Amino acid sequence: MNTARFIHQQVFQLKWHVLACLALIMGVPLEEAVVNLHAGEGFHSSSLTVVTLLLGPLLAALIACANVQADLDEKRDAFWRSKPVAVWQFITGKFFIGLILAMVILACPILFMWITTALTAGTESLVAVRYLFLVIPLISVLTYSVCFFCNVLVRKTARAWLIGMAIACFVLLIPFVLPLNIKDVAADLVMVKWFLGSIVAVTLGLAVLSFWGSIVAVQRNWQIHTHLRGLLWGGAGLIFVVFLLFSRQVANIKILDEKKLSAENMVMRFDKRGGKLALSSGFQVETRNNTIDLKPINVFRTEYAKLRAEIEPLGIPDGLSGGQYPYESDIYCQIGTDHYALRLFVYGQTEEVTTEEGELVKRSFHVKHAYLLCWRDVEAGRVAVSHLNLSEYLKEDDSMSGIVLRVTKDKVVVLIQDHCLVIDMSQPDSPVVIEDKPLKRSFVFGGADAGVFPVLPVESLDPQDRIRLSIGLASRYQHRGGKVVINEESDPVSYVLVSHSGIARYEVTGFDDKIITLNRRDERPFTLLETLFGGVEGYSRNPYFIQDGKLYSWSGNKLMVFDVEGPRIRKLGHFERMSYKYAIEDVKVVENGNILLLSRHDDKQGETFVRTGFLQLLKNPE
Amino acid sequence: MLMRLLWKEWRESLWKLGFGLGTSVAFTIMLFRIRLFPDMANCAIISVAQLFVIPVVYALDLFSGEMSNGTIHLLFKVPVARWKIFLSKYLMAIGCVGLIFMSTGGLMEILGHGREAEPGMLFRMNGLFAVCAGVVLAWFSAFGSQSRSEAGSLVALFGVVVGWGIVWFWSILCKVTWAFYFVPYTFALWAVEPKNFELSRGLFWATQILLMGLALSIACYRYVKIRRVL
Repeated sequence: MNTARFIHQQVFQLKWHVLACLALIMGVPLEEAVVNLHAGEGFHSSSLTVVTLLLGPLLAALIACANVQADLDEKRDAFWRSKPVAVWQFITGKFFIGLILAMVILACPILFMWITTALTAGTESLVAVRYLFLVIPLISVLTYSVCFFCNVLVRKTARAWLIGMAIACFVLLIPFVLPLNIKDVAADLVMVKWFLGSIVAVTLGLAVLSFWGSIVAVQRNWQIHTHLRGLLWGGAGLIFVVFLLFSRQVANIKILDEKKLSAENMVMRFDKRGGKLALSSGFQVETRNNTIDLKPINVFRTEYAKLRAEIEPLGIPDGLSGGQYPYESDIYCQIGTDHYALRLFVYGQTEEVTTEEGELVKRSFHVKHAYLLCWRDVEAGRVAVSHLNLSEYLKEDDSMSGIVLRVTKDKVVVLIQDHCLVIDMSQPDSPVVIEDKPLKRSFVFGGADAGVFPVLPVESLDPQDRIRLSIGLASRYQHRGGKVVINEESDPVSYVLVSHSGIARYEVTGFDDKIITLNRRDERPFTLLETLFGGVEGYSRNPYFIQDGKLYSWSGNKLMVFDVEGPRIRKLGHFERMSYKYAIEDVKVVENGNILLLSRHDDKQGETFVRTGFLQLLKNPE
Repeated sequence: MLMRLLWKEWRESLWKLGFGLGTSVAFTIMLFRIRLFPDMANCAIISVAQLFVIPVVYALDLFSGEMSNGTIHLLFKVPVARWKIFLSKYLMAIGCVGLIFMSTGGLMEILGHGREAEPGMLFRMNGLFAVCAGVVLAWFSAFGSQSRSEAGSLVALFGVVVGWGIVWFWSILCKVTWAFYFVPYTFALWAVEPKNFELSRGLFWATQILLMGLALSIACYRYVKIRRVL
């Protein structure tokens, strides 16, 4: 066999298919590049090339089918078999020439993207998608080989293509179908090397098997007669079984019970009454036998006014205005068996700086008086316990605004102006300031290097609490693009950063009196499905918390639960109410581990909005 | 005579209807029972799958079947206008596709009743996808009415799907609002994001009906002139 002529003949035979595939795969990247050029961003393509790369496996399979069909249809088959050429040589040549052409087609958009991006924007933006340059050709090799084999057997292009693609998809889905305890596709695929390795091995193995099978099938002239009807039914049945098995492997949060809330429960927040979970409108929430029970709290008296009368006997002083921290609800702590609610009341002056035209430039609040108020939280209400005057720590000329209040076991840490105060609450009726340290401006307003945090200058706190507080305060300035959630139970201290792109876990690797050093231990990107239909980051004030090693993250209409304590971050469950009229308001984990979720639904009826509330009990995913 | 032709098409494509209904119902029940995704997402997934599968099932041998079997010679000898033969094929295909989508939409409404989605929303979403499928099928007819094999039909359908996809991407990338009026996938956008649908609905419908009429006219003309390729 004259190899050069054979190659020429084979390439010539496929030229129209190759050109058509090139046009298909290069159309969109060229389009994007032209658009970018018009937008002044230079002639380059990136995001849409990645999308079109997904067409690669389909086109490789198309080339395979065309390649086989060109020589194995009835008349040509008889023709080339009459020539003095070994069947295995002929098929091997055909197989590899077609494969190389398919890879050339696939390489075109990749090279185009790489070169144009490198020349205009730099290749840093391609780092995130570099794994696709390996995965897509690998899958393409699989689809090419399998479709080649199928067409050798079936001898009908369209059917062989469909059967080949179905087999290739099935093989790629097998790892998720088998009981390998895979729940989180994103984490398992990216993080587990053996898993990825086994997929590569199976893919290449099947490709080699298909190649070998093709040679045998042509040598023995095997043919299978197919019917479109049977193929479609068989394919649909196969996909159905795969889906059914796949769904068992993927986590989902089940609804155990659901209650519609009446108008009086429309304050959509969980609260505590005597240490028990309640709706802020005054209903105690009980969850027994996977059902929700709402019990009205008949006698509920709060002695807010009593304490306020003590700190402001003549009302708010003239010229000052009052404020509370936290604004929405109290901060709770448990001392002994009793539950206490704390809140900081501040009084000060609001200063406004305006331009000559009267336009507001800056508004600041200068604190003149501050009081820490404490109530005991009992089922029947709030009993006034104590108040602590912190005004003596305030300066007249305060350049630093912002108040922070944190509770650690029996101590309360207050950051106000340039003071860091530690208050001992072990005797709630007589709280005492046990430490007062000056707070450096750099601590509050940033200045920390990446991976290094300044330590809060207090010594009366437990080291772990001190680290957690320091991270909690300083990380706001290090991770401006995301939300930091500190794991209050982990050892070593760790926190999770939730951003638009995904979740990352950081762990403390060392600390001294001045700095804490951290390392990023793990990260997990959000999948397309997780970012679809509403973002991951919510508008609620505290849409994330960690409890028992699980991160509960919720946004407007979705709740996701992640395991953040295991060797890698994995998603355990996903709950979503996909409607822009729905919004999750609050989430709590109840004693038996289930999740309580408060959500609302606003429906526009004419000119008015009608609000309906839902209280749902969800099974906590494991 | 048209009724007889429709009856013939009905008999011939009954298995496709059975297939479309059977698979759609099975997948709908499965997805709505396991609630892997919220109901609206389930509806979107099923609708998108239907949009790309059901027209393919019908398109594969809608026109090429007669040619590959050789029955087109017999069919063309029947004393009936060829446009009626074309019309009977297209009407039966579009009717069955519509029936499959409507049944699925109705089933979704029943299964999702009182759950996340507001009443009628699932049916509406699936219905808009059905319209999109109908328009895609019309465009396929324009290009594939002279196909002689399943492969030819598949390539024609693939070309239509990818071709409109390229126009769609271009209109999104360049923010060419007017181009959205021409692309059938805008129905899918409308279905998934009704809140953000800013086009004039009347104009969009009018454009799509006009384009569909144009596509069908081309398809009918090509089918009538099919002698050239016989």
